[in-house]
Amino acid sequence: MALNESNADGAERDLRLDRLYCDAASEAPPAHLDSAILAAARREVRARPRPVSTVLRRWRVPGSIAAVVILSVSLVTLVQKQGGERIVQVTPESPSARPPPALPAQPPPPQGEPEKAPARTATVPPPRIRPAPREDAARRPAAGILGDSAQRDAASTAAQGGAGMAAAPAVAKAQPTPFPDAPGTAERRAAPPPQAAPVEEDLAARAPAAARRGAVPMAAAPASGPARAKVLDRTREEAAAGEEQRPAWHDLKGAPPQKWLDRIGELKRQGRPADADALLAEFKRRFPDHPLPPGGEAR
Amino acid sequence: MLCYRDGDAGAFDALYARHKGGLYRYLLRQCRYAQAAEEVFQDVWMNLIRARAGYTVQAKFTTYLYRLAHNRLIDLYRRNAHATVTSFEDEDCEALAELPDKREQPAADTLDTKRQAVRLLELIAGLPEAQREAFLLQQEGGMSVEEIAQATGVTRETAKSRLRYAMGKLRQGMREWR
Repeated sequence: MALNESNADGAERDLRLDRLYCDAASEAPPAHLDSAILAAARREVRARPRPVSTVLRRWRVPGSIAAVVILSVSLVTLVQKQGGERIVQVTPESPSARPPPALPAQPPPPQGEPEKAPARTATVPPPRIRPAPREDAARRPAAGILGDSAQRDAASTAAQGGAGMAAAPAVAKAQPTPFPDAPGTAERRAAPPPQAAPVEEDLAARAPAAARRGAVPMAAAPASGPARAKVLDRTREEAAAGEEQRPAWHDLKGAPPQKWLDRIGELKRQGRPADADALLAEFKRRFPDHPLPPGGEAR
Repeated sequence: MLCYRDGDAGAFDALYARHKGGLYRYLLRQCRYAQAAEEVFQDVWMNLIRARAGYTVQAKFTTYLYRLAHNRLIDLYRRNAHATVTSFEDEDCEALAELPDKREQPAADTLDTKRQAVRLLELIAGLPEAQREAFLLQQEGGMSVEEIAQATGVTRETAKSRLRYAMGKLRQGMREWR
């Protein structure tokens, strides 16, 4: 009888042997093994969380990247919307930080107007920093609105003698040197500045004085809250004692050019060349077409 | 197995019911002792359960299962210094002469099928380990030569040779009933 066969893969098969083996092999694992193994399998399924399906596994990385990108863009947009204006306002010598032309003294704004706070801070004249002992503690709440990093930046720039560091709230060691271009706070609040737009000569005239001072007044007051009220109170106090802080040309407003030139010469004779230079710069700005007398700058 | 990996406990029940008998008999014939076979049997299934989360389809499940069993058996042989391990290297037919020759015994018509089955099991137990393994994988696992080679970690030709020798010995041992 032909019992031997060969499979397609070349394996020999003997059908009679196969049948005999099937009849002979009937052993089975004991029941206790079955129950133990099946129980372990169920425990394993219950203990471990269901594995992530292939679809979720495939989209896990792209989904994570998309979430990070969306979050980053949203955060940047939010920061730009909420903090961008404030940052621009405290930028030194930025046009938005300069006071408007005519601005009478105003009472402190109510607390519940946060959206108007930035614009108002721009209108608050820079309080003159007086040589008060360690004003850091007093200014810190107000400066806190700008953030520590802004304070550090402002302080470092002021230390470099930058002329435009009007927004440095952390500057505390201001020296009481006369600042020709910085009028008293009350006066600046009461009277408009000579010109609303920044002038090159003005900046050039202010730069040396600011560098000598090593500190500059704080132009950008805090936006809102008790810090703003504190700054405004301080501003009023400084305005009351602002006679000494008036610029040299304070009483020359409306005076003819000749009187300005006389005052410049007088300051030089008094040994105040910085004030004389500042006054001369202001004179040039106010009377750009007025001829200077021969040797007038040295007069 | 994929269903079980994904958390379907019922899939394991079906898987176990389908393969438990064949695997147990394979181990029983290879270990010779029921206690050792049960220990290895439980270890194999436990390893399978523990490795379910990382299971990927690389071959037939039967091949994967018997590969686990083969590796576990090798460990057992090494641990117990099994005397017949060397038979994995013994591929010649010299052992065939040592098989008991039943041809001189009484006529086959006096023996029933049950006795033939007992005789076959004796012949299987007398096979060298590797040849017996190849035969058992074919019978219990329904595996092809390729799959036997994959499960035992040898080349296809080696697996085919082992299977051919095993079949030859068994046929010769059962010749009296032909």
